[in-house]
Amino acid sequence: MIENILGNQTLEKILLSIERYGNCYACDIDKTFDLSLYSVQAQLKKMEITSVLVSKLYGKVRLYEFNPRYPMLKELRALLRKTIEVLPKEEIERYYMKRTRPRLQNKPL
Amino acid sequence: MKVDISKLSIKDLAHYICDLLTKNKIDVVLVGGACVSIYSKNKYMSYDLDFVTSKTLNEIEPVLKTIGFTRLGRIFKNEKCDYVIDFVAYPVMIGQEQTKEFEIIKTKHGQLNLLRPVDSIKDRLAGYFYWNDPQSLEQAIMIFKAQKNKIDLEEIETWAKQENNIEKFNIFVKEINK
Repeated sequence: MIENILGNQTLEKILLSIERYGNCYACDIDKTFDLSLYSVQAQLKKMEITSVLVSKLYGKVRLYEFNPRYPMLKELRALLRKTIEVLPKEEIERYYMKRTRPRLQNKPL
Repeated sequence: MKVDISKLSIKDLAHYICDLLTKNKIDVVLVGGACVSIYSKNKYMSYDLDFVTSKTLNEIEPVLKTIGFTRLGRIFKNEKCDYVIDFVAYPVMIGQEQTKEFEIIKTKHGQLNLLRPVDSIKDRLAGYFYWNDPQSLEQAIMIFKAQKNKIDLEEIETWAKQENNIEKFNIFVKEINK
């Protein structure tokens, strides 16, 4: 939906996921959207170099989130929120409704 | 009266378990997703009965064993039943706030103590505040829409301010007004 503004679909999906869930990591994006891991990692790195995102290691996983010091963050997040609002319901349910709250280990679903 | 557990709805099972435990001097309060199922009239379907109690699992175990539930760590399961029973940490906390006021519903299956609808919304919003969980936000909206007349939005707003999450509360308000 905003891939034309952002330049590509992979970046759109990354940023929408971070807006939705607060953070993301490359493998998760790659699996959720069936994208190439290489292209996801490349976009994440690009966004980190340009200060849109920041990252930290969490165990062996590199987690990315918005850089609170990015000057256009408020405007970027408003655009992303609006995009999520107008996405088709099926797309929301498929990609942007993942459970992120904790659950006891081994508790059956 | 012999009750066929496999045929009970989540609400009836919650009543039955709560009543059974209370009769055995174990006071419990239903929290979590089962409250959402009850208040949203099963628009959201949970398969967990999460109870809060001050008693220990060792005190609970023999009581639930009488109706075929076996203990696996903190969880109790019965192969005839679709639902699992879990006992979460005491006391009943809604975010950082302790609550001592509960809803009481009575049916033929017994008395059930559970979160008030407004606290059930706060409980779901806490999941959204802390973990950005979109499912929790959706469940909070479901409860609000089904229980509108019983909900004091100002109470939720005051709580959200205490939780330092007024921004996400405003998103909730925007969603319920859509």
